[in-house]
Order: sequence, then C-alpha cells, then structure tokens
Amino acid sequence: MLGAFMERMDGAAAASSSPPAFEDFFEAERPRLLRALYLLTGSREEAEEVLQDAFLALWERWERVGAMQQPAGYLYRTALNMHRSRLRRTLRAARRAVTRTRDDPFAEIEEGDALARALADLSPRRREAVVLTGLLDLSSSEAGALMGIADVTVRRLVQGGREELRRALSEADRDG
Amino acid sequence: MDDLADRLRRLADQVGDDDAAFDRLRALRDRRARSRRVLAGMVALVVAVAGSYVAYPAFRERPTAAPVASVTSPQPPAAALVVCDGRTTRIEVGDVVARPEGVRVDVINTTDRTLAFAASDTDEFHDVPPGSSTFVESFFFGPGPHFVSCGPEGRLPGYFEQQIHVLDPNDAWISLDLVCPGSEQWGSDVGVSGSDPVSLAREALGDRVRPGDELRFAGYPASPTRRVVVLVRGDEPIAEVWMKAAEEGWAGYLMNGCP
Repeated sequence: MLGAFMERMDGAAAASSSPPAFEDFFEAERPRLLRALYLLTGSREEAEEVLQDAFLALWERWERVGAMQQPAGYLYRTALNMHRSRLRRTLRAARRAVTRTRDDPFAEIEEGDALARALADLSPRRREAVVLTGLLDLSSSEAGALMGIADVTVRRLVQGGREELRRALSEADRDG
Repeated sequence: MDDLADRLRRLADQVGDDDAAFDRLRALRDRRARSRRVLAGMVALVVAVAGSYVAYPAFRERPTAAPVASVTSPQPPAAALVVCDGRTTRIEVGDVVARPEGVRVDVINTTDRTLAFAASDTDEFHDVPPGSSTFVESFFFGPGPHFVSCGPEGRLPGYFEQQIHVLDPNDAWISLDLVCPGSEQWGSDVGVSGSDPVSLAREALGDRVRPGDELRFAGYPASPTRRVVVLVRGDEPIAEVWMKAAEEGWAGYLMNGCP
C-alpha cells in the first residue's frame, strides 16, 4: 500500500536512518509505477520512457529524496507531472502539424481491449483518478494530494470515470 | 470498484516484467550525463562569442529612458472573455470579478462547428455553438487562478494551459473548507432531491444534524447550477452537502464531513 502519502510528498519527516539504496527502491517501486503509467499512457514504450525519466530525476536527488520517510509519493508525483508535460507537448505538436496527428497515445492502441479503449476515451484527469484509486488503491485524499486537487474533486472524477467506463464496457459487451 | 478494479489490474498486468530494467536506467543516466557535458561546452562557447558581439555596442551608446505614462487601474470586468478558434484557447479578458451566482465567462467560438469549453477545476464542460455564449462557473471556481480550455464537442478537454483569474472584492465566495483536513473526512453519495437546498441538506445529513447546529450556504450562494450547504456547529463547518440543479429543483450527489 502507498499509505501516508502526504508525509512522503512533504518530505518533512526525514528518516533518521540512512536512505535505502536507490537500486532497491527502483526494484521495489518500478512494477507498480510501470503498470499505472501503462494505463495512463496506453503504450508500454511511452510508460517506460516516463518511468525512466521519473526515476532518473529522483536518482539525481536521491540523497535528499531517499531521506524522506517514504519517497514513493515524490516518485509518483514526479511521474504524473512528467506524463502531463508530455501530453501538453503532444498537443502543441498536434496543433502545429498540418496533417492529422494523434492527440492521445491511446488512439494508437492496437489491442482490441475494450477497457483500454474506454480508458482512452476518459479525460486525462478522470483517467488519472481512476488509475490511482482503482489500480493503486489510493484513497481519494491520497490521490488528490498527488493530483493537486481536493479529495472531493477526486471522488467526482472517479465517480464520473467509473460511470463512463461501465457504460463503454457494457456497450462493448452488447456489441461484441 | 470490484470487477472494474480486477479488469484494470488484468489490463495493467499485460505490461509484463523486465529483469534488466535497472541496467538500462543506469546506461541511460550515463548517456545523458555525457550529453550534458558536451552541451555545456557548446553553450559556453556560443555565449562567449555572442557576448562579445552584444557587449560592444552596449558600451558605445546609452539610450535615454522614455517618459512613463501614468496608469490608472480599471475595475475588473464582470465577465472573462475566452476565444476558441478550434486550435487554441485565447484569453482576451483574464481578470474577472466573482458574483454571488458565480463567475461569468463569455466564450466566443470563431469556428463554424460546436466546441466544448471547460474550466479544469469544475470537471464539467459546456458545448459552445459557433458565435458568442455566456456561462456561469460556480463550484471549485473560487477566487484565484483557474485553467480553462476549449476542445472538441461533447467531452472534457484534456489539456489546460490558459488561466483566468477570479477576483473577489465583494466577498461573493464563501469558503468550502471544513474544520478538519481532507485526509480525515468521510464522504458518501447522496440520493435525495427537492426544491429547497437547505431542507435537502438536512434530509441528507439525517441524524448528523444536532440541536443548535446551523445549515448555511457555501461556495457561490446564488449559483444557478450548483449549491453547497454546510453544517456548522459552534461556528465550525463540520460537514457539507453538494447538489446540482435538477428537474425537482436540486439533487444532492455527494456529502462529506469531519469524523
């Protein structure tokens, strides 16, 4: 579980013991972060790129970040911010392009998975809220702290996202 | 979440595993460090050359300062003005005064098709037909900066880069904050509706309301689309009920409060 996220992100409560080895932290956190990013980006390659950028950013600051009581929150916030920055860059590139350009990596998903397509149709914020709470089991206040929004807003995003997913999945079941 | 959570996990599991991940990360770090060193050297060279070109004329003549015109600060307008051209979101008027019903935003759609306009904090979008439209944003739209965006019709735009600033010189906005931090609050769905928001809140809160408690509006108290009623005990806001406009008047959809 990712409990005590606020403390992790504040980094206020520094652990008295020496920080864990960065490699151990990487091995421990990588699988879960990669899975979350895969759902957020819709692409294994893109998820891997964001993951690597986020871990590299932490590695450079590991002396400080590693001393936080729980550095995982910092990692997740860094990864989310990087993912959003990439989305913004993709949008700007799409606007500049004369030809039709994808505006969402999920658009290129080749698997016929209805859930992946339904996730693709969620707004990025709803997708984040659903993945953080549904896959990572964060509470709405923990997810809100990561996303920089109120926990009430997270609940609304999750509620709307779940409704949208359920509707899309039931339509897919009916059609399929 | 249940079945949906299981399906999310199964989908995420497709990503598989990779034993050499840390080796690849280490290699990437080394590669980037090398690139940074090369880049730093190039930048230093360019700066040195450019600096010598810039410094020479700067020392030769000193321009005199232009006279400064006096500026008066106008009253902020009653509506923000946003222009959507199908590709970008442009803020023509970014500072706007809050009113008891919310914040008025005029949106001009310069295309010949319907677009969507949204403020990121509200998580709601409005369809904007070609031409000029006016919307009133209320909840999660208190004083301060807010991101807004235009996008394709029928969905929440995914990218928010432009901001408008809500000013509140008349104290139209009433804080939604409860006395306890969000991490300690409980929350639950609300399934009641009615014509009077306060009665609706009382019904939703049930036996959480004790003698002597007060129910007051928060947020924008005259919002035509959203209302929040706060339960106040001894001057401390301890719970709130969220509702939106419905056929019956108002429909509650969420409440949260302190333990």
